[in-house]
Amino acid sequence: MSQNLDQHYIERALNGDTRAYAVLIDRYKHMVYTMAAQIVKNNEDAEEVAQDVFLKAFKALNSYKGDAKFSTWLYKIAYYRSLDYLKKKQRRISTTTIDVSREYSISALDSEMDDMEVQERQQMVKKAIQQLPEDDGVLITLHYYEELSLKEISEIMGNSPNALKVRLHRARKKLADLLKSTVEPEILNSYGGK
Amino acid sequence: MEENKEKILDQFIEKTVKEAGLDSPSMDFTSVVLSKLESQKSTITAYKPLISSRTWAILIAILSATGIWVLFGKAEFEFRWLKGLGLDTSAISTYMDRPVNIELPDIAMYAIVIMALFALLQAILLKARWDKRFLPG
Repeated sequence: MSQNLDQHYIERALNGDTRAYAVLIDRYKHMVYTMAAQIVKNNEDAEEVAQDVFLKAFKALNSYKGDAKFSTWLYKIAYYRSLDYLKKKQRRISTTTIDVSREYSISALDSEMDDMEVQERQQMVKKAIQQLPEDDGVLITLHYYEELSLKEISEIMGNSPNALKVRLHRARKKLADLLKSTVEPEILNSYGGK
Repeated sequence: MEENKEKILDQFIEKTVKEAGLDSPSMDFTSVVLSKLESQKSTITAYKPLISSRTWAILIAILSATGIWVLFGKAEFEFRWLKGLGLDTSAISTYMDRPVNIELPDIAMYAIVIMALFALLQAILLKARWDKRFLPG
């Protein structure tokens, strides 16, 4: 359904109707911006990259043949554009390595997080995803938020579905570890404040 | 057991990531992209060949006319400068069935050679410049 709707606006945009393209921008800007932010790890740079992605996509719109979903085509541009930006800036992104030596229960972590304010919890999760290596953050978001299959993600990121499965397995473990290490000081602080 | 743990982790991550949602770009993001698109549209200049098809037609006509005049007209040529190089022009004369007699002053020869050298130098310099501009690294 969404694909049919996209096609309608794509055809209008190809005829030079920039207002139709604005509909596509509004529809996908959050995901494109989030992907860029997860890779370049900086809001201002992510804004610049995301704008650049939509400019490039508009120029290349006549090369979109409709074989894949428009979103998949656009996310692929966003992914490689963000990596190019990083390469151009020659910036090394420091990601957190977390060592959670003792075992913990996911259910316990879940209930601890449930006790937090919604907004606080959202911020904490976003921050934790930002701390993941760039590919892991994108992979987690595409799979869990955008609900893309590993095959669809492989079209965007260029890895095989099997390699992505292994990577996803590690990424979600890393994310849970990061959340656990953030939740504990938060809880201690809240006790200290009482 | 292990499989169950993985399933719980999978559900937990799905729930937290969905709840966290996506980041938002600036409020004027769409309008900025559209204004950039408009400004790019206005600065794009239509491709125009350096030598128009009309000029090409005129050049071809001049070259053809010269060729026809040389081959079938009454022009006489003497390749004095070719003789100076020790080359035999009798074959050309035989082919054209009349004496070949092009007289080219020495100064014109030097000018042509120097021009050719400059053209060669320019090609090398231009290639280096474009390589630097368009090729990565």
